[in-house]
Amino acid sequence: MKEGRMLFEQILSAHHSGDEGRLEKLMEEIYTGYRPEFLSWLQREFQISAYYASEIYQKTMVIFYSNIKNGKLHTLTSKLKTYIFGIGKHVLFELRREDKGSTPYDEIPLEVQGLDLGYLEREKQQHQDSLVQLFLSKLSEKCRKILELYYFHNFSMEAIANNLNYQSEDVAKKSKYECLKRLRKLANDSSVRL
Amino acid sequence: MEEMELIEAYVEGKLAGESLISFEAQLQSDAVLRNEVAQFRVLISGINLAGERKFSQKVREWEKAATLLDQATQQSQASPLPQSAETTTSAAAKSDQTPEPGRTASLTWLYAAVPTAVMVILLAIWVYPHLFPPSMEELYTQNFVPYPDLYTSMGDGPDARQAAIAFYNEQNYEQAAESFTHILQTQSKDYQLYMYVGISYLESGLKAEALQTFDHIIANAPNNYREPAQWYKALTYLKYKQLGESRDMLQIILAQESHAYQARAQRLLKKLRKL
Repeated sequence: MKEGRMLFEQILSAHHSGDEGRLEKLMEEIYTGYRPEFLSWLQREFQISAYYASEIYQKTMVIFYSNIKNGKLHTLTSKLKTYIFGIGKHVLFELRREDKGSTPYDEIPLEVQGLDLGYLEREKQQHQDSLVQLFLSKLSEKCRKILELYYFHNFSMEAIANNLNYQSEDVAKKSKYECLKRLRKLANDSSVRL
Repeated sequence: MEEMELIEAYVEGKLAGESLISFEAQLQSDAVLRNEVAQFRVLISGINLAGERKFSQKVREWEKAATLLDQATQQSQASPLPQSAETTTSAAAKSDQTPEPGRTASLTWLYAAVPTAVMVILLAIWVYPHLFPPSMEELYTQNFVPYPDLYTSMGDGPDARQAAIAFYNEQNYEQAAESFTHILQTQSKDYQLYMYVGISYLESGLKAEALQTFDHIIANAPNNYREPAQWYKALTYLKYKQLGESRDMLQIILAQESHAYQARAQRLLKKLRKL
């Protein structure tokens, strides 16, 4: 595996250029690279099963990527491994929090205290998100793609236009709004209110 | 700027100066605009969640691949290949062992052919069910039965619920999912409703939503809903050919004493082990 800092820079570069394929390959490299050490560390330090450690590692990677794409993690002030392990520790505390009560803020590892760790809370949302998933499933694949690239991956319109072969950034932008309007219409036409 | 662009710019924090002041003033006096902004936030949140789920699925695939590699590595370390016994046989030694042609050739052939044929037949009998086991789709179809309608038989519930269960019974699962989800907005602790929502999502082809619903029931509901939810979660994985996850879920069921679905889980797991 390449050195952590180099990988991180490459991920930022792939995100900036909206190269979804390359981004995915780099994330996979990070995933498989840190996995053995992360799993054995988590099981050893916190006496948990291999299965549970694997679940935590997966959630850790989703949070790690979320913070890159949201721009909250744009510079490494310590090693990449420190961030990943720090997020993992937080995920474990959060999952245990239901039994123990609130986790005091200072139990969250220092290096990840500024990051968005809301993925675990968003996982629990039910009603409205379920409805939106239903409406999204009724859009065309092309519409779902452009909305995902812009609102989830936070790619720029320029990058999206290049990668999806739109004539120009303006054409891509117009397409995005058309798709959003279709989604809104599905929501409004439904008998269910968001 | 069109209204949608304006709302987006506001929600993304890109409005500034006069434009921001003007928009905020409009928000204060215009209830329709406030609703549209609120709806926009919900839609974007949903798009984000869809993206997160898709990415989570990718991560799951990486984990599965890594686990398989770990298992293969462990197996190869546990049973190394035997050393060849013929590497140093000299040409002279080989020639000494070569039988004279024609002398006992026919008997030798017979002594080799009969046990070989018997072994081939026995192997075929053992291998055949492994070569042609039922597919995951077949196993899903054999094992899936919709969660029973407990409303109609009990003559229970107000009109909205009856309408929703009618969709469910007609196997109009998309409509059923919408209707039950709407009822849940005011009855969020009714885990029986969640069961119908989960089944409706499963049969509508909305895997992530089905899994999320069953997870919610498993995390929060009493046993009489938690146990069927675990079973349907295993079936969801089976439907989407996630063999490892399905097996894991069935193991979790088997590990629980007096689980209502233990016998079913055991039978299914036995068949999945052949895949």
